[in-house]
Amino acid sequence: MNDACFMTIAEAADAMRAGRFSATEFARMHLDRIEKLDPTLNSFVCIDRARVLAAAARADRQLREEPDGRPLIGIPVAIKDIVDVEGLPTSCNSRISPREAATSSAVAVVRLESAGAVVLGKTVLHEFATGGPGFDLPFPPARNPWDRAKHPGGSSSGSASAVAAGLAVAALGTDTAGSVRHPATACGIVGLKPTYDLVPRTGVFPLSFSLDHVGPMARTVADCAILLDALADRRGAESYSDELGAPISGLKIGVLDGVHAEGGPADPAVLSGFECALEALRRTGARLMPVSLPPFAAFQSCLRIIQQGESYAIHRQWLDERPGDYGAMSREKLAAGALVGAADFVVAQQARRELTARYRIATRGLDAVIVLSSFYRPCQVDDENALAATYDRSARGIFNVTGDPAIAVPVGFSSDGMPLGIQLAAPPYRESRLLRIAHALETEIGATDLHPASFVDSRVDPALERTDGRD
Amino acid sequence: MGDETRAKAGKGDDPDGSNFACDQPLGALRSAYPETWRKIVERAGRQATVFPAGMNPAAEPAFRYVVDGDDA
Repeated sequence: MNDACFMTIAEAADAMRAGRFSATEFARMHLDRIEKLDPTLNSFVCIDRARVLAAAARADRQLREEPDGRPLIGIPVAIKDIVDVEGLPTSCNSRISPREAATSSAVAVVRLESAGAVVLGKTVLHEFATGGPGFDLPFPPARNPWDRAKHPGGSSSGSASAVAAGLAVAALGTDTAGSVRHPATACGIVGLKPTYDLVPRTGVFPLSFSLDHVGPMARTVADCAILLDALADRRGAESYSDELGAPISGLKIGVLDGVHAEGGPADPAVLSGFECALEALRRTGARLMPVSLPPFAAFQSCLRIIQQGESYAIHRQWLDERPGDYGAMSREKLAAGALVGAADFVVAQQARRELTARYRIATRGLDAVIVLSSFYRPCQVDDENALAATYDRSARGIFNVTGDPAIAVPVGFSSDGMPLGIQLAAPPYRESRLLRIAHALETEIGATDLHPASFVDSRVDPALERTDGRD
Repeated sequence: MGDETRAKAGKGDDPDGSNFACDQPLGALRSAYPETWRKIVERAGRQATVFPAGMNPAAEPAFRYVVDGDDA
């Protein structure tokens, strides 16, 4: 029965409608797994069992009333703890945050619950979605289910870890410079950063207003499409699943591999995964073509200055009055905004417009582009130097600067058993096309069918012991 | 802060960023976490800022976050 916890949304919906298990039983399966297995992963920070079971009971009623109804009814989801859920505190994994429960849910959560999803609880993150996997925060860092000594990526660490380990079917993350796509890649799941503001940010504590995105994380592209149907302000598409399964032969995909060499070579295993993805796309008949962009460093500079300026505006008073309440990593990252001058910020905004215009020209006529997600394999979760290198080098920030939709898709594993992934991106509001291409790649490669062995069976592996902090 | 002050930050003549004292940002933080502040200033000094060549200084910044068309 615990294989059910690795079902896709469509499979689980079919199983509930066929009476194989109820929404309440499905929720209990996940709660039991969380109780048994999450002490080894630290992915959840807050679970209200009564709230979960009440939502599952509502879902069971909906399943009876809507036998052919919405696919998210009864689907257990996890929410990054920077997103408000009514009745639960939003800790942002910080001592700065108020301890009171949120009095209303974020729009994204309301939409998921209105579609019938069952919110399991809140997942751990880097403090205020910045900094890194600190051991001096209210909650310890999440672990990577493929190797618990490794970093699961961030800042939506717990969301990715929980989904990869079968503790939730899907999760919500936020992405300011890659925080949905980085952990998705590190944990071998799919993470979608939609077009800027396609999913409302209301009720999500901001890190950087103009770069923040809310996005779904799940084990398959099709699951992300179903979630986006519930989350998005619709822009024409009837359903984001409509194009899934359609051939991609003849579609034009730009290859941004010039980015990979800037600042030194990427990890050979990661590059090998990228080559596999290109080969797979060629087999589908997609037309690959090289694309040259302005220096990647320009996108990074633009993103850094805007993010530092905007986040400092949010945190300035707390940094001034309560610096000791921040963890060391986020204190250092956020206080750096004190050195961003007003003119620097304006020039970064001018650069943002210029870079976006040049990006549009370079990618005109393309259906999508492909580029690495992470340049390195996941490092040890407590290796500060390796972590700094990981965060400084990725190709994810480009799409926070432009606001374009981008999706991280697993493409296999390195020889040491860690997931490898790539990114696909598309023009604004072309999520349907993006998901179609990602689905074709996923189908051709088949990497999303694999799950971390220690978590596939519900029995607790004796090798898994509780992790409270450093090993 | 003046350009000259900023240019000195994190470099040989201002390793601890004390030239920023005139701006008084984050006094408590700087005094409680001098090593953190030193690292911030040092990084700001060496961090290369790369922008596209030929940018027009009078160009309209992208303060509207619309991504359609030629807007950012």
